[in-house]
Amino acid sequence: MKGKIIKNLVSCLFALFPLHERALASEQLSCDRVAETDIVDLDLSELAEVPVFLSANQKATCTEQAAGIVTVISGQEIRNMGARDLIDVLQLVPGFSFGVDTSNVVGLGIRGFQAHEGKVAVFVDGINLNEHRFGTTQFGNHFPVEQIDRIEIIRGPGSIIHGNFAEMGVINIISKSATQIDGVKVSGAYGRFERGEARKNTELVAGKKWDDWEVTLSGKYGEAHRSDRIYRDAAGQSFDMSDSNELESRMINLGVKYKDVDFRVLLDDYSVDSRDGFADRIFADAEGNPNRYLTNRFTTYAANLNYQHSFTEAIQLDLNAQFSRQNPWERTRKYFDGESPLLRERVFVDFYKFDAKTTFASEEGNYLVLGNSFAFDKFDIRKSEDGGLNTPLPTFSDYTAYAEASYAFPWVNLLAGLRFDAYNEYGTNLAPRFALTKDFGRFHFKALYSQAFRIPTGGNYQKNEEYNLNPQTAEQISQVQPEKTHTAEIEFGYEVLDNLDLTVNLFDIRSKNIILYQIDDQNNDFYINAAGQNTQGIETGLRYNGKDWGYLELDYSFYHATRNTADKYKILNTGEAQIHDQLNVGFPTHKVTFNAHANITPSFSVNPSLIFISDRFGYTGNALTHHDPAWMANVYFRYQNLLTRGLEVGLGFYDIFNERFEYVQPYNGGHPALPGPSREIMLKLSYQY
Amino acid sequence: MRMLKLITKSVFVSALLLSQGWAMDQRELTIKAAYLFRLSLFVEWPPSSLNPTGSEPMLFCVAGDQGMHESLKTVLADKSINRHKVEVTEVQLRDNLSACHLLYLPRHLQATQAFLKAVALYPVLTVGESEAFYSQGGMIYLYNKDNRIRFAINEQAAKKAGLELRAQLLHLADQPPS
Repeated sequence: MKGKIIKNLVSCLFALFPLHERALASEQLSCDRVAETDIVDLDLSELAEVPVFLSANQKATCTEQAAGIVTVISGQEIRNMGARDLIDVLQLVPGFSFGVDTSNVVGLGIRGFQAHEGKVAVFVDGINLNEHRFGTTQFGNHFPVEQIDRIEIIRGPGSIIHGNFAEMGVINIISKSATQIDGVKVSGAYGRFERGEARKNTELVAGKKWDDWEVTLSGKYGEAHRSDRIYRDAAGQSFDMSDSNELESRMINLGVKYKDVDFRVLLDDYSVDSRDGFADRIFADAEGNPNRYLTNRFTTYAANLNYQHSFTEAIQLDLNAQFSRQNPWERTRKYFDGESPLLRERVFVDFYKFDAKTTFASEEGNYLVLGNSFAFDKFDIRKSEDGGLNTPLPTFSDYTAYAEASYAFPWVNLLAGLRFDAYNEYGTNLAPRFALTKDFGRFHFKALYSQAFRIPTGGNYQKNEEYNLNPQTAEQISQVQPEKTHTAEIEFGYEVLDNLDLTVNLFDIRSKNIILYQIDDQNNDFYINAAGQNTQGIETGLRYNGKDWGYLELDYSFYHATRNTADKYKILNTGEAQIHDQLNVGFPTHKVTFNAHANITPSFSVNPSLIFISDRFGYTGNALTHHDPAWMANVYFRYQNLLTRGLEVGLGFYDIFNERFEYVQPYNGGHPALPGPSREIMLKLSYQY
Repeated sequence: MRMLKLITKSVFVSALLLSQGWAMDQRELTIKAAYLFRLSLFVEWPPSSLNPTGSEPMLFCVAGDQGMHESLKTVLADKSINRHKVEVTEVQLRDNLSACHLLYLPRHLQATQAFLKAVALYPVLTVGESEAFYSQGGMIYLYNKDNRIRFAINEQAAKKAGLELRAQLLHLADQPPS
């Protein structure tokens, strides 16, 4: 019976989509994907039709996320700008904003929403690096940059394809292939603030192809300091960050590919030292004297196995199995007087996911994707903080079935997707998305609607269980429920010249049942659902490709809050009066970024960049604080093939005007703004052979 | 004071942007690398240079352009032309250029004429990007027209070097830009 249903379904699909054996290879020649991977397979007459410089609409039509608002940053751009880490790269993305979460941990916000806690998904070569306990991803000298081929960023909802943690955005880091590397590259970077060491990083990238085998290996070992400035807490206590609040990163990424089988192992070990404390006070003894600091360690050991099989060139099967074992937010208290470190909390999360999907494509480029997956998170609490939960958490499972179809009508391309999730703890959810896109020569538009979601994590569940167990608790609370978001977006793009593109997009985000972190009067924390939070805004991008001499990029983003029921995100004065109802805590209304690259000679280049962030509001304890607008100017000089082939030297100056950016907490958790890096000089050496 | 800072910043950035250079976009490099491969499929080298029944490697030489060298290595990894595996190497004027089957001379190269002279007596397919290259006897001229890469052929120069270009290639070629 089951087999018959499948047979009938497949027959229907064939009837719906007239197939051709060259269907998957018949994409437009202007497609980025074709250009990057298959250009060599084009014959001379086809090559003559390939545009040298892609316009935004060509990219928009052809990138995998065409039905989204997308930013693609190439590895070349990243190395041209001398990015110290991903913060330097992502600061240039419209609508993206960094803020402190707690205890020297810095995370990302998008379009006025605090996205750090499970609302922006970060992938490295298909492996999800959000920790599955609370959903966070930590930034600051964390991710290596030398191995990056490109970063594909969706500046909007991605849940339908990428599941939980992708409610507000997706960051997909794609490493270079073995043939791109073809050898070994080692690099070292050393940076200094005015008042101390900023960072010392070493990175390795290696890759080789032998017949059907491809092997890549990349890794990073890095130590850094968040800042060299003075941190002052709500009580006026302070400490010097120039010799503390260390960030330590170790990452290994091994990929092995044999024909259609792709296997990857990724090890990530990131530690964040904190003297700034959890909320408004620095860590201190009963008399208020600083006596200790905290190390939060985040480890991920992940493996990913992919198998791709093409039945014909029009029908493709993708099988994927993922596993990760994480130990996020492992908290160890360390004392200045030499007392033995005290492990405060250790929770392991094992994540398993199995996914099968089939793609049916037609000669015209229409396609249908059908897939389903099963995933579960298994929690193992080894050590919980005093009074914490010592009983096992439930296993959180999710069965997903999804379908997406795209059809090109003469006047518009229509995409429709539907995702069904059945959770063992949170019921079922049906989430649709629709996209209308069209390219009219130099002009293109996109009209997008998508539902997205954030499902509570085991960490949310644990916090509320612990809250209810606490004898200080006055009343019991229920577990939080899934958060849902409806996002509507419109994008217009115009190719002003062959090498000058302008894009403008508008967004409207309506988030309901938002999962919100709370602390009660006894400093016990838990999660609730708040009614909602909405934002609207505009983002623009102008890109000029100077062909021979380099490129220019100018971006602007604006958001304003249209609804906010959560006091934690409001701008409230000491009298609890809302003094700005169109701003959310920690987010600038306006952001302007400028990035340029100029080739002075074939070997020597200069890359200046400027970031303007308008004023922001934050909290220090319960007191509202105002943070002035900030300009950050960086310049990076890159000399390739210095003295010998393969040797590269880079010299970067960051925050040249010493504007001293601060990471403002994007919710009222009482944590004062965390000083960020001030003026820094960094020397980078690399050698490829 | 703030305005002064702003002006300083603007001047600083503008000054940096006025500089000019010659490096190419990665995508352009990939397209040109693909061209070199496809063009070679329509060229016959004399048996003394490349045995048609043999399996010795075919050597693509790149003069002083690391970007193109890397792109060629990536694009042409594991590629063969009539059983001859393509090998890519970066060369200097002092190297033995007669071993090359194809010599690519990028646009920014200062010594184009010297390179052409060095291979003039050998069956080496020269591909270049500058008008000077073409006027000085280069064989295949790659140029950008309407955001597309086109090529023009100097058939006489190829014949003189003992290379035979197939009619199909001559048919696909464009006139050089005036």
